[in-house]
Amino acid sequence: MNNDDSEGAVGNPRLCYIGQSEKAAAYRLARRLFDEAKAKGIDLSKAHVAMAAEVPGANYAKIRASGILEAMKEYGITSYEIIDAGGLEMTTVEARETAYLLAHPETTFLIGLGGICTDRLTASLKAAGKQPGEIIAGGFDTTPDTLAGIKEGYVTATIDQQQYLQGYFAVYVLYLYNKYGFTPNIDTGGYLVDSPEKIALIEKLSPEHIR
Amino acid sequence: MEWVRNFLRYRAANTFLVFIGLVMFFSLLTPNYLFVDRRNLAALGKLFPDLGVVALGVGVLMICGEFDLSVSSVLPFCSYVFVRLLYRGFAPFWAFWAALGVGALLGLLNGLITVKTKMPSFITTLGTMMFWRGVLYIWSKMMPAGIRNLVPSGSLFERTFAGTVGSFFPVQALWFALFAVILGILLHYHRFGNWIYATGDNRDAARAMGINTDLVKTACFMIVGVLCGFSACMQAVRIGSFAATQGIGFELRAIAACVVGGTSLRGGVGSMPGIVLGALTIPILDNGLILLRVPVFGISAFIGIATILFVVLNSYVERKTR
Amino acid sequence: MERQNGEPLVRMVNIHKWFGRVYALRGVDFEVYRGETVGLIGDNGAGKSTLIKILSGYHQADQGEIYFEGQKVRISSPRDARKLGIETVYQEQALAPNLSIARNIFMGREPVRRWGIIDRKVMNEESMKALANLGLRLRSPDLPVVTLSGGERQGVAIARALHFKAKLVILDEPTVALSVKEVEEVLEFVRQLQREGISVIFITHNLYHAYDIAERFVVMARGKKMADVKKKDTSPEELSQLVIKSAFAE
Ligand SMILES: Nc1ncnc2c1ncn2[C@@H]1O[C@H](COP(=O)(O)OP(=O)(O)OP(=O)(O)O)[C@@H](O)[C@H]1O
Ligand SMILES: [Mg+2]
Repeated sequence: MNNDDSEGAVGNPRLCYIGQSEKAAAYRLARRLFDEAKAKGIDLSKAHVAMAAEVPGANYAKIRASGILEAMKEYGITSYEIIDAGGLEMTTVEARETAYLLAHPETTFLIGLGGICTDRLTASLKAAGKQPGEIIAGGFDTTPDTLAGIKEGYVTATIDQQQYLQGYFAVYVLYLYNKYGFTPNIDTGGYLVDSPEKIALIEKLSPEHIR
Repeated sequence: MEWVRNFLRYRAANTFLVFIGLVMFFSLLTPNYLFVDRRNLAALGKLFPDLGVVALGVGVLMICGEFDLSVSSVLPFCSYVFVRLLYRGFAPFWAFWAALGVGALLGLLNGLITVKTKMPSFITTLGTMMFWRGVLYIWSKMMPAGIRNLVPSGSLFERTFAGTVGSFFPVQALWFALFAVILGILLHYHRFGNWIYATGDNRDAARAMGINTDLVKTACFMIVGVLCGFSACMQAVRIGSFAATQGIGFELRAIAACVVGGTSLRGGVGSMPGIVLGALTIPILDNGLILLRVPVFGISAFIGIATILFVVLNSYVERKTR
Repeated sequence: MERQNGEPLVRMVNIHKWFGRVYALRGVDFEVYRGETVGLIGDNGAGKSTLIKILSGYHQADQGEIYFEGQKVRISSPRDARKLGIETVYQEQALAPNLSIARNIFMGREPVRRWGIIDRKVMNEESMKALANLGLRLRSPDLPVVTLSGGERQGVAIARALHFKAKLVILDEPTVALSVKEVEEVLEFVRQLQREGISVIFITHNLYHAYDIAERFVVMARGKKMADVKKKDTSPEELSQLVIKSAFAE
């Protein structure tokens, strides 16, 4: 649940997986960001993608990065770097993202591969003196500052994992499994949050246990 | 002028020289002098105190001969207390004092467990680190909890802990300086400081001279706890939320900062100027290297090597001066 | 010197001490008169250190009484002992090696101004004065104690006792691991204490040092007092015999 093995069902002897298909979600996010750049008339062949990962070696980071790389290929983007954001601690992440932005003015896209890196995007962009939209940023999860960043225009899009569905379906599938032996894989994630309206929707539905 | 002599004697001098060297190196060699760019200095100044403030306390504790590994759990615990109280409708001011109080209490507990069981604090605080982290995870369910609407940007409380003085100078750096001065006076000018050194340097001697070494140690643990509480609130206000991962890794990085600043792992040796420099050196190294565009993927390797070099240098200088 | 007729400065009566299963002191009576120097001798593990650590508040007796200047006293901490005027120079040196001379001399009793801030001027001047009284001239009160020789370190510890107007100074093997010259230095410090009329308990394994400096000798073995002799009634050779005999006596 929640974080799948990189080889899917082959990689571990699970019954089924309920959560977001990490690669597909990352791919969708990247496309959304690249489209945004295209709409702005940015020459994607010269673009640079920076991906910040809390734990660069961890599975989630590798799979999500692979989804992004796939989208990059389609859009003809070749230049990228994965940033070791220094762990799960917010301040370290912010310090590294900020320094990276200052040192790499060629950066077109800044993508947080995990929730913490994504949460710190807005603060880092502000600290590096960037205007909203000057660098196209996005990532994963809907932590408080990520949502604030979308509202302010610093963050273009983030992927919502739909935690409620993950929990709901887990129970439902266990019921199906016990009763009939069904083990369906369910992709709950990949809901692209990219506008204040969608944030409002999430914020409204979250307490109502629909999301 | 005793502090100059202290400064030299307690091995802060080499840290100072290396620090100046690093600053000059990065100032001159980073592209477009980015290191001294206003944006970079502002970012450094607001970010390093999160760990720095904790490191100041950890340094004092190390001088009295103890460690505190639990800072990485006490800090987010205090942060959660702060945020919960805000949610309950308490004014930020009171929630802040409550967080400091909880920090002091957890520090007191660390101290009592350590002096009563006579176990090495490396073990006792490893235990409390795991315990409080577990409690926190159960209590908070690891969900981030935003506080931007409770401590709005621009409010007095927000500006006190995450604002700037003038249009540029980060207030966090001032807090760090304030704590450094207070603890520096305590350590080097107050009688309690002499007890801290004596306790760490030769506990039996201190005891024989009538110093209550258990009390000294417990008080130092409490200082660390209070500073964790402070850092917790300061960070929560800046990032606008509680995060269960706040403070992760601080326990060893605070010790590393102190060691870089010439604090002995065996107690009795160290100084406030040294600890301050240590708390500055590691973030500056991190920052400067990224600005030099080294591959950010392997940056921890550099930090690791630098820490070892500092320790080697310190012990070399120590042997030379003896 | 016939002081024994007066009232003793300290009298320890029937002192017992256990360390877990180790019966370290088995009913020891011990007294020191004003201005007197007692040599406390005996084999390793005889209980000498334990006895004086009870007097200096580092350990507490399990049974027994202590009288100081005729009054029954309870010495339950080093602080209590120091208040009475009992200062100890420990076998395991009671100095913090990385702290300065002045900070060591005033450890735990720092002269302070307002808010508990240490009065450095007073501390440094008094330290130098106390050291000078012992005939010890050191470059600066700010030097860390590690930089001193063994003899000088004992000097610092004794200066501490002198400064705080001790009535009784206990020296537990102060000459151990010292060079001949340093030993002579330390013995000279002790003579200075004697000149000031301070009572001294001097513990040593070197009977010649003891004989040189003390007026009376107490021999201990296996937690008991085996002999109590005056200098005029004995010789170093006889003391040595006493120590050996007591150690093997049943
Ligand atoms: N803190 C302690 N815990 C347990 N046993 C102790 C302790 N201190 C002393 N002892 C034991 O008590 C006995 C007396 O020891 P003490 O140190 O008084 O001897 P001593 O006469 O000073 O010997 P030395 O000449 O070697 O210093 C010894 O058997 C010793 O092992
Ligand atoms: Mg002994």
